[in-house]
Amino acid sequence: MDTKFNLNELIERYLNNQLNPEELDSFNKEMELNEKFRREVELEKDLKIIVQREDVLDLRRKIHKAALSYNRKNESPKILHINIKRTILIAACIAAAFFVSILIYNNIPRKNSNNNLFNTYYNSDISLNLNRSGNNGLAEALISYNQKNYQDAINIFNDILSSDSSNIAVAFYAGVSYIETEDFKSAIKLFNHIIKDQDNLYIEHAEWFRALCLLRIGNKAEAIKEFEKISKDTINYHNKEAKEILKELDI
Amino acid sequence: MIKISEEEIIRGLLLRDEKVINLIYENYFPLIKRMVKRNFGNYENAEDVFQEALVIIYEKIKNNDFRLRCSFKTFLYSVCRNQWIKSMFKCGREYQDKFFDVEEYFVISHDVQDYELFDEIKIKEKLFHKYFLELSKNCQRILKLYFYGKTNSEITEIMRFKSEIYTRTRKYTCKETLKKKIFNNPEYKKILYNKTL
Repeated sequence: MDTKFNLNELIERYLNNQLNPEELDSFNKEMELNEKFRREVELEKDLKIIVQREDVLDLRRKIHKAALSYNRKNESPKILHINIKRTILIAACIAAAFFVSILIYNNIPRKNSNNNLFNTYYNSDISLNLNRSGNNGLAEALISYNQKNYQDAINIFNDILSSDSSNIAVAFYAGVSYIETEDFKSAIKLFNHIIKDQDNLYIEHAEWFRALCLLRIGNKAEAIKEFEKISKDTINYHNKEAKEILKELDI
Repeated sequence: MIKISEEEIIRGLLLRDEKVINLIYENYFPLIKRMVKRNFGNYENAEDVFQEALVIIYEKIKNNDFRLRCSFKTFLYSVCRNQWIKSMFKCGREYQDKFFDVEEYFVISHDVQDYELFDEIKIKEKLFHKYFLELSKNCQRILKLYFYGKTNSEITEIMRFKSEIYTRTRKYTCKETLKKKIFNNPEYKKILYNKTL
């Protein structure tokens, strides 16, 4: 602490032009040789400039306050409302889809093969949005995923999940990686985990991919239930695709 | 949605009027949130994009460099959209071809195209301000006084601290807290990493 404290005071004196020629000389040499030290000095210089932009700082403070107020007023009750609405909707969809699926399963001839439909509608081109900080394994997994080395990515994703099963983003991309390696059952397990979690941003995609996986492994009745559910949820991200695939399935 | 005219928005932003900022947030944040989420972002990303867009527009208004040739909603949406695309691009993926807009009738304003939204200084400013605002009120005051060139003895007097030694220690602790948060931020690390290349 003492050394750091003294170093800090030295930087302050440098920035206030209070160093004597000898001190300045050794300070500049240290800047040249010691990258960490140079970064400290540069950060302090930048801080001085940026903190003085008081109007922008004040604007950010007010936007932050507005965000907090918005969250208090809107988000909490809305989440509750959506969940209740969703639960009812899901229950209704499952009931409706149950009858529809029995009808389809028994009576309607296949217009398209499940595999063809899967290939048409499956699109894995999803950009990664994971927080990489503090996890070297994750960075490695992301490289493998981006290079389409899905099996390697799966191994690392699974390592991460074994110590942190709540990492939904990792679960999602592990699921997609399983699809790429054609291990659809493992993919479905992970998508179920995401859907069950109920409080994340990947639910809609997980439902859609799960439905496609079900279709691909030949569980058409269950897949149709899922597509029906998605097609009835007008704000669902995959609503349009679900309607299309149901048409293709001749529903 | 509480109605507010575009003139009121522009004037209110320029004056950093809290009521206007609250109304802008309530009226337009849901749209931006939907756009970001539809394009694989999360709530925090949406908040970030929204804040930066408002700062950009504020600076344009302040510098008398703001011409609204479409509705404010379209303009704001476009700034946020561009910002989110660039932010994703910085993460290594190209989004532009596959961008899902939330409202199909939107004509994306070309007015925003010239804006360089992601220069280094902007990212630094965003991070520094974010972490600065997370400090305690006292820390913020001490550091502001310091960055405005006040000496330790002046800060001691203004803050009514018991001694200069105490001021130096407090100032050091506040500054270290701030610097630690900044150095640990992935975006900042990326800037430093790019500089060393």
